[in-house]
Amino acid sequence: MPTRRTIFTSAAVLGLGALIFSGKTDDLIRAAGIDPVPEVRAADQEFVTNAISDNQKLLSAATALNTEVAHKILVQQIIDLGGSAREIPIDDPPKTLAQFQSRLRETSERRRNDAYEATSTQLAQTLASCAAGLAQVGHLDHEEL
Amino acid sequence: MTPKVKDLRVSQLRREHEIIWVLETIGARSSDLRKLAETTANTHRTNRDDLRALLLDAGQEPPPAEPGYESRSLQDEDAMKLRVQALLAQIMQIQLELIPVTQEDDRKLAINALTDTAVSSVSWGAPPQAFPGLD
Repeated sequence: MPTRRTIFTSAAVLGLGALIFSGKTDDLIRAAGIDPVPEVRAADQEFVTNAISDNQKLLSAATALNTEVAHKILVQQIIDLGGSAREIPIDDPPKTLAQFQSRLRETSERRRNDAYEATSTQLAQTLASCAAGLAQVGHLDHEEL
Repeated sequence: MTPKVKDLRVSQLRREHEIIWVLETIGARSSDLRKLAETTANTHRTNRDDLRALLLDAGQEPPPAEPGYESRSLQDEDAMKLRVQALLAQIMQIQLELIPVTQEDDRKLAINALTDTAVSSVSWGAPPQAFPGLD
């Protein structure tokens, strides 16, 4: 059974670890006379960055709408993904809880797509689980938010 | 289908058999939870049938349902909800484990199924989690 420790250790070091791994692999590939394609791992790193920034935007809406549970889940996801729990203001913030939950569900769908595209299987698990958590909050009754 | 995927699908099918039985029992015992139990059971009947078909296609005999499952604890609605939440949590763990060992459409299926199960668990009163299926 996967544990948060093993999953997040791999996800949190994805950035630096991926670059080191990618560099070494590229050297081997070059030695074999093949052009390396480092973009694959870079995309994985971008998936993590996007997950953090999407949540930081949602966090500003959660604060504005005073949604305690959503706020807690978003903060935990950001921190476990290696980000800081700062808020990023958005141009068109959701004005109602229904609009906010709609954004949560849209973000969940983006995380699912990223999980599908991720090269790292552990990152795929992390993003899929993150998507599931966002969807849960996106389907709560308003009084539970 | 790799041996690992086969094992996970067999494990999930066993859980699907159990949750269907539990939901049918809840539907019979609680008028308040009956509708939710029926809706949830329909989803898991579909899961069961899909898993059976996948295993048969792979030449694996699908495990049948047990003659019965523990039901003495299903005496009040809180206990019923907790039992369903626990089974859904087990299914989520299996769905999460399927992600790294599957490819393409099978992986997409596991990713989407994890979200569906997570949403179902909050409808049964489970608190939302930052990372359902992990821990």
